[in-house]
Amino acid sequence: MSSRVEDFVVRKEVQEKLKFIMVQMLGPRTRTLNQEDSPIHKTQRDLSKLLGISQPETSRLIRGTVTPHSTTLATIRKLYLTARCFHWDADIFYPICAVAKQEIPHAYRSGLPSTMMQLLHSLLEKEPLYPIAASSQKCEVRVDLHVRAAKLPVDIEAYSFGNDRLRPTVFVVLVSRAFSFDQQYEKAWDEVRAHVIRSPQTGRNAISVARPILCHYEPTPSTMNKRG
Amino acid sequence: MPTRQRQTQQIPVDGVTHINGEFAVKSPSTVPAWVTQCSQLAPRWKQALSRHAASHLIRYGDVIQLGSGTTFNSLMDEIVDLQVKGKKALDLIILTSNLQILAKGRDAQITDPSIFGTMQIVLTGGALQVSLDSLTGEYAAKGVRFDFIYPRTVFLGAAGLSFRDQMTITYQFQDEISIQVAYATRPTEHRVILCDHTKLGKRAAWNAELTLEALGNPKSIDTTYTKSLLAHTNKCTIITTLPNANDPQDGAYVKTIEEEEKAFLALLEPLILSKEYADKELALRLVGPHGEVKREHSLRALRDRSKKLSKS
Repeated sequence: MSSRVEDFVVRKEVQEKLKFIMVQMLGPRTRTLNQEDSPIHKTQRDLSKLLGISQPETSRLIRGTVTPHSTTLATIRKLYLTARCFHWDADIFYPICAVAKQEIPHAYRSGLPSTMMQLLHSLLEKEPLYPIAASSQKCEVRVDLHVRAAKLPVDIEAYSFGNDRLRPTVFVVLVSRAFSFDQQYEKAWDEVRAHVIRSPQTGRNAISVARPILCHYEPTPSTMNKRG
Repeated sequence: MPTRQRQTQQIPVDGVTHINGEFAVKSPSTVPAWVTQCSQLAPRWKQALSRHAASHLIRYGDVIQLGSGTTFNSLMDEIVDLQVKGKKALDLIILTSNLQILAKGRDAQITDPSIFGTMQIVLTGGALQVSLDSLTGEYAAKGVRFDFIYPRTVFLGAAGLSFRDQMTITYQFQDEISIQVAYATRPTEHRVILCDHTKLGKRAAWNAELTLEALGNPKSIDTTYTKSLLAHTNKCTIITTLPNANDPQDGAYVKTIEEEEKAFLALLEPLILSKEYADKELALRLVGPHGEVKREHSLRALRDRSKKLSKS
């Protein structure tokens, strides 16, 4: 790929990411990306503060007329990741724990949490930007649960993340794509029973009665038998 | 409320308990003192251990052996809870010497026969140890070792556990030593020791003289082999709890836990390159207050690191 094309790709990426950051982190949470009348100008100053660059440069980045410096690009990518977490009503995600295959020893190795966090970040990047179907406040559910199938390490069946180390209210459960859809569903709920319903915020019956959380369940593309 | 708990709480002033109005027993002999006292010690950490064990180490159709002690009463509660919450029978075979587990299992079967009707609880037999509410003695130990049934996982506990100088596992009552040694040495796929952090570093009590030896002749009368955790299994996991350093109640234990972790790693050092331990898996796992794995030290990890270092 020529450097001109590369620059174009980076500028487009930055343009999209900055818009998303402004909507998720600086604008009202309910606003969608397609709104033409969103007050972008009002938030450019805040955005330039976040990026640590001047407002005119921010404006040029938003318009896609310049390629950002490598440090600015890194900051944009980091902020974008945080904005992606915001999209799921979380400021940040922390690794909680896994349900591992029992036959394979040392599944809970020291590098597992960081591997899983990288996997979550790449999943968040790929996640389509549709408005979340049901927020926890609207549905009066005490926890928000997002279940996704992903390619996990061979000895891990499912892994959960929470938005707080001690009292999480937003959970992400990744279940291995190697399972069939029915198994994915079963393993995901095993993981939920192991780590989500044990959370102090969840209460003992919250998950089993909270039907709206099933709205967040997304099967793999090959098996689109949506439940719930 | 479980039946046995109901029974022990119905103690009238005259010292006689009436159960269902049909028979009466002298109340002092029915109160399991050790169980009553210990169930009040670190209950949330016992729950953390049992939550972890129930959701990570037990699967459908398992044959498990559960030892005596309040941690296993809590584990039985979690096993029942897991099936009730999941509305799914695990069809377990539970071998035990613990009468509290029997009572909890019986209560679950009465309450929800559709889930627990096919759960099998097998008692070892043996002499009643009232304080532990468990069966003990040689007869019970033989029941634990009996090869008529092979447990996939054996869970045992400890009153004290330390890795300093050498591994020391202690128990409160002399008459429970034989059965605890039986749990610690009988052939199985996976041996699991559940011991919350309040017991780590404690050595005061009867030493069961259990070792990590992996060598020897199974028919030998050599006690180092007959009391080895690893001789009759290839996988042994010691699971304990890890409170947060700023925990107002348990934060003070963190230093002791870290010292024990270091001592455990020092015990593993000579085993890394030993051929006798090449097939053995030994790990110390620390879990948080909700049963989530905080960290794990294992022979496999040290072996892998050693291989990487030698290659580089």
